Amino acid sequence: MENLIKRAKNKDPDAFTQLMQSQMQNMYRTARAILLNDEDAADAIQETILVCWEKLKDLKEDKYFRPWMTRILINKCYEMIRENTRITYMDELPETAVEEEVSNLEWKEALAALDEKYRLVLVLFYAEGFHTKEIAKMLKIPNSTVRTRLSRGREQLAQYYREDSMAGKEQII
Amino acid sequence: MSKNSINILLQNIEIPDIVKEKAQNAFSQISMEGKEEHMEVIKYNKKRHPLKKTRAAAIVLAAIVGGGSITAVAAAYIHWSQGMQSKMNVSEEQMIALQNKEDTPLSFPEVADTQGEITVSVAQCLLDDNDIRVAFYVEGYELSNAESPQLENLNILLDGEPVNNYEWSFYTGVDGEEEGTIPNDQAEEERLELDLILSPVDENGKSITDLAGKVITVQMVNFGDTTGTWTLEWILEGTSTVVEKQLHEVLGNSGATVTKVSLSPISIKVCYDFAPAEISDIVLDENGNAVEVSDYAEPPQFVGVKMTDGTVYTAITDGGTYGYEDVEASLYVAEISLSRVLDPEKVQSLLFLKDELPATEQEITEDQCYIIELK
Repeated sequence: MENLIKRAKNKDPDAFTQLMQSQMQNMYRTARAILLNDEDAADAIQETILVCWEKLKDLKEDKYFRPWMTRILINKCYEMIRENTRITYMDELPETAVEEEVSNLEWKEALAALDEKYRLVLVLFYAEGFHTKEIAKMLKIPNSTVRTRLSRGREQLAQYYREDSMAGKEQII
Repeated sequence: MSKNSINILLQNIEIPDIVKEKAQNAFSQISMEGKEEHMEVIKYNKKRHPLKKTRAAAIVLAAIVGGGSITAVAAAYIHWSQGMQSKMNVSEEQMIALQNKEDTPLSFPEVADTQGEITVSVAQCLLDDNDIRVAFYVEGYELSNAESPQLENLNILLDGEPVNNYEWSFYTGVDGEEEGTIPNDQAEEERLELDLILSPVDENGKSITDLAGKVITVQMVNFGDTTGTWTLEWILEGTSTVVEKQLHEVLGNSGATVTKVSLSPISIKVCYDFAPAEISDIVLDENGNAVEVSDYAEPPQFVGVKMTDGTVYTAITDGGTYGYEDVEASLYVAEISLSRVLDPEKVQSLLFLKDELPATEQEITEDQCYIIELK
């Protein structure tokens, strides 16, 4: 990845494309965790790619590429929420989009079961592998708040699956 | 077999086509630009490399509410910015009292920066030993219909060093107004308000205190489609009446003892004697292997105050820094920003939540709290 970052900083579009392609899973998980909607997540990712291309030269240390890129993406997502430019309802989505909403269903359900403030922290910590200190910097909140949110988020998710499991048992009975 | 809930978050997911398509659009655009820029570079290489331009900071004095310097006036007071009034729940009586006190946390720095059509100025600043709140006015930023104001990034330095732990937002109206809309008077004046709250910590997460006298530099980068960097720099001024108490208040059976509190009009610092207790949990790492993660338990959190007239304010915290200042000495410190201006001398007692904050936004009541009397 380091080599790709260096080449991308020198405005090599192929290297940049390869670099960002390698981050698509990460970006999608994060954007979806905030926006809960594939189409909005797609817009946020598109804009993030363009901003990263423009600003990559300003990144001082290559080793911080992932937190830097993730921070840009998070800002874009919150901008979209503030702009409130689109509220997409399932019955308004074209058929292909509805089909896509159905894919990754279990993962999306797990995300949707969490409050937003827990959702993002859990995804950044568990799925993206950031340390709590990195997350605290990205979200501009204290490290202790990150740790509290992790703890409460885990509990909320476990509670959801306990209830889900109980509902399953009731249906069997 | 029960599901491992964290494992679900880790599972490999399929990137939806809509995401792939939009990403591809961006890559195509970049590919075209990249080719053009490559040609540009070849052209430039034929010449001497131009000298790097330094931005000429256009610092101008902003007239604030009629201009002139601020003097203590018995009956009159300078109106606070709408956002600061709203976010700090300050009454007219408190505004007058704070302005006329000698040790006031309030200042009105006359600082502004103009780049192109947009001028950013400081409307007012509140300061104590741990916390800074600043309201900025943004003029000349034209918004089309239904567009919300955007600031791409904001960086802060204290005495030239970058600091963390801050939040900013455009003031978009008091409770009850439609979220995201600009209040009418802001729209009429063609002036927006941007509010900043900062509990500064250095790059190692250590709190920075004794803020008065330090030089603060605030850099704002790109308002919407208008690119540029607006830089405002001034010396922080202000002092606050602080009620400081050495205590030995045991918080029920939580294992925590509050040993000291310092209460200013805009923040509170609480020192606990709380032996570090590691709590562990089993989680899955990125490869799906079970790993043990350890963390420290937290003492009961400060959540509100009871005033001498019997009024109880809960949910008055607005972020801050928390953690062990000295693990070996069991010294845990919470420095918390308040979302309400308080008169520290009229605080009867402090409320600490017995259990963790409820996940729902339900109101906290006194019986959910440990209460420490200050009077």
